[in-house]
Amino acid sequence: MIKEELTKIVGKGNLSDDEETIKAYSSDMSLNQGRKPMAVVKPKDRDEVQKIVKLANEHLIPLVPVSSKVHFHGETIPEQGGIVIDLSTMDKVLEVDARNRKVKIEPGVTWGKVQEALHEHNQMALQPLFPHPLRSALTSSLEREPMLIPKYEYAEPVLTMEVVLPTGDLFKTGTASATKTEEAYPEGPGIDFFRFFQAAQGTLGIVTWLNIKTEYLPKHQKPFFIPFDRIEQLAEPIYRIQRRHIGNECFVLNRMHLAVLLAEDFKKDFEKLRDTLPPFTLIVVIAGASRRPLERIAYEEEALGEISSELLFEPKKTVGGIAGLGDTMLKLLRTPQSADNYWKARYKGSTQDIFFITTLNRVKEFHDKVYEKASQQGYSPQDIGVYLQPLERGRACHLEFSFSCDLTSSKEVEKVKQLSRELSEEMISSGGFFSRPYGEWADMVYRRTSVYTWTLKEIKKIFDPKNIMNPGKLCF
Amino acid sequence: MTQEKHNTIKQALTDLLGPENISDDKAILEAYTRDFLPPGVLEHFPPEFVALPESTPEVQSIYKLANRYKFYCIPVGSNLWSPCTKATRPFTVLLDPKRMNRIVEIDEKNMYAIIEPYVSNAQVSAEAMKRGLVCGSPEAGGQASQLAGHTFQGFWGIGYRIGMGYRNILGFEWVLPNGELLRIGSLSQPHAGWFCGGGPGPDLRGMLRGYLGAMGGLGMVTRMAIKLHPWPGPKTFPCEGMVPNQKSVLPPEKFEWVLFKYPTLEDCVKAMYEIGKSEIGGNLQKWPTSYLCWWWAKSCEEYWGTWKSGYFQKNMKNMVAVCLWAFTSEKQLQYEKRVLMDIIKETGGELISQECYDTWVPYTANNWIRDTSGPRMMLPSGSFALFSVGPDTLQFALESIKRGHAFIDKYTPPVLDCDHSDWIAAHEFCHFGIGETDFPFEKSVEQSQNVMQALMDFVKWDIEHRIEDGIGVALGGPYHAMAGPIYYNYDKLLAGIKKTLDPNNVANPPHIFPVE
Amino acid sequence: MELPKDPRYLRYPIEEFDPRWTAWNCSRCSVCKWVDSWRVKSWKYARICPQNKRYLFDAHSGQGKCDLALAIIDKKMTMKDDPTIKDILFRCTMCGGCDAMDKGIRDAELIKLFKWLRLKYVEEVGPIPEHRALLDSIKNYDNVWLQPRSRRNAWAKGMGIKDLTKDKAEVLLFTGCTYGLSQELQETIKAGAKILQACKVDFGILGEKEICCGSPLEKIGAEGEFERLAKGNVETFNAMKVKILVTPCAGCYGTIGLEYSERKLKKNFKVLHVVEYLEELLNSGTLKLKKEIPLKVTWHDPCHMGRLSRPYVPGKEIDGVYEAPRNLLKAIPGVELYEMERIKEYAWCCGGGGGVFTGFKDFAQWTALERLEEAKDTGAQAIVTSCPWCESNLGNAIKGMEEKIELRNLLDLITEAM
Repeated sequence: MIKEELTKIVGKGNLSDDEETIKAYSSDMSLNQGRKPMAVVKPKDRDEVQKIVKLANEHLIPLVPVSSKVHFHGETIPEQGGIVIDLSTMDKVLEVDARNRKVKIEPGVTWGKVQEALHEHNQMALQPLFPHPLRSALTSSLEREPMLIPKYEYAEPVLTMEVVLPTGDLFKTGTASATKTEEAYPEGPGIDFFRFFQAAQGTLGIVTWLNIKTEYLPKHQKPFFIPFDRIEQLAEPIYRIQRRHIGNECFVLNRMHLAVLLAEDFKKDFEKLRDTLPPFTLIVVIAGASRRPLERIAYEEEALGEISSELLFEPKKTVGGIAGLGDTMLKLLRTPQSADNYWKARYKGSTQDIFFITTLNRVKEFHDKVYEKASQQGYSPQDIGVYLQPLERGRACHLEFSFSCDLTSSKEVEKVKQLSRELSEEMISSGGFFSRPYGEWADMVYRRTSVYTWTLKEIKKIFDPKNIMNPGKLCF
Repeated sequence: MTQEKHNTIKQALTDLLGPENISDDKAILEAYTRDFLPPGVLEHFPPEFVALPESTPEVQSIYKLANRYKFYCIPVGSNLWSPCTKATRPFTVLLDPKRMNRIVEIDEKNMYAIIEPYVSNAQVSAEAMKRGLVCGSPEAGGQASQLAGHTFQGFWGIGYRIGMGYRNILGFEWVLPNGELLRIGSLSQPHAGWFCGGGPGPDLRGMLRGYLGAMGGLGMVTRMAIKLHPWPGPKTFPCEGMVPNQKSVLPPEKFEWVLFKYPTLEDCVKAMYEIGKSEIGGNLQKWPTSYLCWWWAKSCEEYWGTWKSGYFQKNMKNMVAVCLWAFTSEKQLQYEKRVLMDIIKETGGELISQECYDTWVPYTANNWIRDTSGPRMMLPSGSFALFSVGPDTLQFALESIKRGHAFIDKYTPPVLDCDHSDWIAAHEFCHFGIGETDFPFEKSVEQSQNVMQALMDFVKWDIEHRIEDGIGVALGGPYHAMAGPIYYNYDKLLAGIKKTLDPNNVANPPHIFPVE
Repeated sequence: MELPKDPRYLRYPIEEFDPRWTAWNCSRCSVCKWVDSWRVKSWKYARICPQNKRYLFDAHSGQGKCDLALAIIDKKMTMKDDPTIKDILFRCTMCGGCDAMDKGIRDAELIKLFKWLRLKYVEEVGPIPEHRALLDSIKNYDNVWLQPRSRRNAWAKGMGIKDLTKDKAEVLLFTGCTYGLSQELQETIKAGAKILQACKVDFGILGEKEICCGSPLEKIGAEGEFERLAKGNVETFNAMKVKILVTPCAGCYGTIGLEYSERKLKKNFKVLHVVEYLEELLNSGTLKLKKEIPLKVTWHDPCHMGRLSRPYVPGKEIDGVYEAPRNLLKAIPGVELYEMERIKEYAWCCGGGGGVFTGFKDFAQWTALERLEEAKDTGAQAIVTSCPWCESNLGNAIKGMEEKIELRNLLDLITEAM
């Protein structure tokens, strides 16, 4: 009967409950246990979303909002059954506001789509590291995924949004709640509601559109690749580069990640590349602004040269002897990859990532702990991918360790799962901040902070009195 | 009954804080009853007590006692702006944070400072500059509380480059109305420290803010880590001369103020958009002529004499000000100057005369880096108010100002001449703008009443038209109750949060929502 | 153009002080509690008001006293309503720090307001017990130290200085009660006199006939008694036909120089602090400083020769005798001058003024200790000043310190350098 009512809302072709569909939504790229939904619905607009939510409230049916066609952290696997509400067909770039440098997107808009729309206006959205082409830009932004360009001092790019609350009521944050505004300013109404929906994994409402900041798309760019042998050598250069406002993109990949990314013929090139690439590469892209771009590149490059002289490192045009690496990297940064060649899947089909936020001066400490434990548990160190993303002028960093895993091997899955669990506990105990507590992390994080957990639960009760929105996630 | 309750509260607070840190002396309380805004002029309701807690545990105990003995708590900072943080009912305890005045730590490498509520903007700025860092400083002035400025507005002069107040908050300790201690961000986890404000998961910093914050209606923040930002300037803020005629000139190879004007306000906004898009500058402002005179004049006679002469109105109307900073190197400043001159030329701007520049810039401009000298706005007539704030885009700021001007025209007097005040501040490289129409009015009982009426009319007009020009929120809880149904029923959510976190309604009622 | 109707907003009524006007226009900004924002150099030394820093409640501040004044003037309270009023009004060194900082942002005269409040308190409640001895001393002995009048001259014995009650000179050296009568500080006044003699200045003293300038009375609400003394003094000084009155005491300097004029007492002579006079002598080549004194020093600006020494002109700099002592110090070979963070018009008080030295010793010492800490933080070996109240109070505080700093008077150093 529920399914009939849902079908009335979304139309016949937009409700699926066949085995194949159910299976597809029961798991994701993570190692989290699969759980099945009852059905999957695909609303086409906000009105349908509201109706679905109201219906779910009536019947106390859990709802799991999904925007991307691919997920990595288990956040969309239903914990308690219910309906998956797949918003991926709401995929319009609603408005490019070039003047105020923002773009309004629906949940189903991928990074590729939004960047394409913005490129026409010589703009770009701040994006995370090489996102999966099917990844929702809205979800990435809401989930506080770290952005590649740390020079923007103002943290997350989220502006205003339209939300269907778990009660089915409509809500808008910031100046979007009033008329005659340009819907830019995130604060209000009353308090900063926009913050509640961030990293909420859909538990506090369904965002049906989101405004995010955009920036000028540089026409002139100069990528530099700075090799380092040891991870502790990275902190000081990054601190200084960021302090002096040098560059746009600034991030670090270890040889494993870089080899996976760059190997053209994977089987042939990967291992050799991994062996010849430097252990760590700091990638800094110096970009020209909209005016006198080459002049800006010139002085920033000179400043980078000063820092390199002081600290005795060398910014290069390539590493590992790879020809045209600069152009390759720029292309990777600007153009989404193809879905069947997603870089993280290239080695073994999947990776289990452990990521958290810390400060640059503690990176070595965490790095050493990870490698020690991995070795103890028989995971090959050379297979560990490391991604270091400075945040906000280097005041903090996102530190990520990736463990490739062949999902078809239950033994390997179990090994990686255990390693991941133990490492996560150790990282949290050592002070790594898991600001986005997916899957098992939720319990690890929330049991360590009673008052925050209590407060969140109380907020949840206010927003979602019937606890229908993605129950079981976070601390709910 | 009343006296018995008073004595019970007094005993409890005295036992907790010591007799020298709690007072119900009439003369002591009198100093917490006024400020310059109409509510502070028109109503004088002293608190029952003023308490001086020294630590987070003491604050927690106070709130727990409040729940037990049913009294109200109002936390304040420097208490400059107190329409919503003055007592309005009996058995109110004002929490004066003067003993919570420490800069607990400055992490120079990771660019943050952990501060308590009674640390001033100037103190943080001074300590930061020694370390090659800088913090934002709001219009309240260098003497106001830096922590409080993060819970309320935070439209700093350097917000153009570094972001606004709500972006600047990292981990913090928050005593909830029930006395529990909520640790936000990375502070919520053992051994992680203060460096990150978001999460874990949904970001509860959201409860602390809104553009004017919770006004103590959800408890008290007792320590906060705030971001600091790279500062290419000297270790000491340069200053010569004597009060009130001081001069500040930053090293010219590292900082340069460029002031230029346009025929219309719209032209200013066009230029500002271009500047933001070009990502140049550390400050970007369009100041009204009244501001220029406010901060520059050293006496009210000089203010009105100069104002009547029209010096600023004739020479510096529709003026945009940019301060270029050499974050990267001196060549950056040179580059940005060239870009700026290109923009000025393309947009039809005209540099102000050297005479105006020399008259004004050295004595005033760097306010917008160190302290904005807000208290000088009371100089000409004892008080000021404003019809619009209009946080949104620069374009919205422009329109908000026009709405403000209509009210200025309608309500002159009590509004005094301000040359149609039109402050537009650009934030975050012009992703945002605010548009204020600040005006002076005579600080008298009669005019304060008239201004109060005018402001209420403006708020009502805004609500009727479903526009948010940013004034109504200054009323706090009562405004949210009024406006909530208009703006997607946010009042219901606020009411839920207030009732949950403050079941006994001890935290500065009727803020954040009148639950009675 | 819509202008304020109240003419006092168009031009501050400097001619006639209106306490309610000053109090009314307090905006609660707290500028009175802090060093001017542009001058703050550290967290540690950012406060200007000792009273507020020590006693914390806002009532103990310029702003708080404005609120109290309004309540009193508008008859919402009386001076007798609350014993705390005594502390609010009298645990204040009247240093003028709040007054100077407040003048940075508005037209106001806080110190005048405080004096008005104290006067009103004394009228309605009576002099505070802590000041009784002071009042009796001046009444009975014409000085603040309960010393017989005959002792006033004792320091000058054998020095051959003119007695201007019998002789004539261009310059009157007005010693002041403390330099004249304090056993500990007499060497300083002797040093001053010797310097003038060495420079062949034609000067004299009043000797036994010198009476208190009235400075303490003016600060503690005994306005009637102050005016009596002031009138008498001016008549005496005018009668002597001196051209210049020079004094080494900052309190006397501020009182005779400024407060007497504020009471419209016509002086036929110029008033200089001895430091100003010596700077003139230095510049003219008369005073020669040749001997090397290898010493790192810092200069403490006494309030009454600094920010409280000039008539208020709205919008004009809060000027004072700031450069003269610094120039003199720099002229002494071997002396290195290190500035404290709070100096000149934004200097931290020594703690000795406003009747606090006599009435509230604990507070006076607390304030002095902060100043001494600030002096030590400069790396200086000695703190130098030229005011007997500063010297007395700082000197007392140094006695209780574990790691001491030297206290020197500028006159002593100059004598040494000659």
